[in-house]
Amino acid sequence: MRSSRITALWGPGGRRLLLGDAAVLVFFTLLSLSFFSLGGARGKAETVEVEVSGEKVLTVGRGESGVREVSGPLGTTRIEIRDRQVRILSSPCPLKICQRAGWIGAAGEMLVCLPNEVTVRLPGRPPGSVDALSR
Amino acid sequence: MRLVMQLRKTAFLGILVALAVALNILESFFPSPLPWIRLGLANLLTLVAIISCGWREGFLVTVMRVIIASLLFGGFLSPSFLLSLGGGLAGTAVMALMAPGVWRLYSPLGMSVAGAFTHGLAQVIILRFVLVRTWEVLYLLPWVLLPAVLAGTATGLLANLLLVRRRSYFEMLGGKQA
Repeated sequence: MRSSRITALWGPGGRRLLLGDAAVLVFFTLLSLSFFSLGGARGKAETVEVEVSGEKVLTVGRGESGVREVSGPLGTTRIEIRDRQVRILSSPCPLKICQRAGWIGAAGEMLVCLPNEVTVRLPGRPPGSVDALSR
Repeated sequence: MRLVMQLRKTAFLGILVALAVALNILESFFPSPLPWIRLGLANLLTLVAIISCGWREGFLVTVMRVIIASLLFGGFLSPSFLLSLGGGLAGTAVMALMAPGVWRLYSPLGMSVAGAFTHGLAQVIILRFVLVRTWEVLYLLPWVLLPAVLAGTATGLLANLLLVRRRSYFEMLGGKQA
């Protein structure tokens, strides 16, 4: 039973099995795609968490724009959230390292002001990190 | 004569396992855009075992491949070993259920696609219980399963080519043909 190069791709069963294969392929592709609806719903419900002296004082949704203020030992730190990004707008600390750190936007990133004991965190796992590799 | 057939089959399965391990190692050298995306070439040999011998032989090839590869790479009984084994067993089970002898509806292409999908699904579920421990890991599902379906299609086409073009070869080596 010689098959041509093209029909050989459809296997020993010949074209008769083509329909079954196509049905399987379409079914599993659609099933895979349907799982995207799972991720879209809650995937964006990320927050900005602000701690002063080790205590959580503020949790803001990343989607909210605006300036928030928290007070630490030295005075008031102003935190700006815009376009799902966060920065420290102004700080009473002497060196302004936290201000110069600029915007952060990726999960797992963090802004720290040591003098005023303020930390701003974007909770989550940094993208692209790998726990284990299975082969 | 029976003994000869028995020996021939044992040798045949040995070759399948050896090839599966070799392909598994070869594949690990390819770079990949996402760490979990692989072609699953070793699955070819499981397909061949199921079709030319039966479901028991399919499980044998999968389990032996996973164990031998983990011994070679290191990581026997580690979480990643559990991922490989669980995915492999689930995929093989589905492919065995879809085998030509059972339904006569699909070619190895359909078996391969369903097997790859189940493999990915099982791995994500195992990931939930052994490594990540939150249900957030389910957000990975589409990113795992779509590439799996693609890889399963590619492997399935290869399997079909292999089984048609090398038909006489497999007959010679011993198994009944599908």
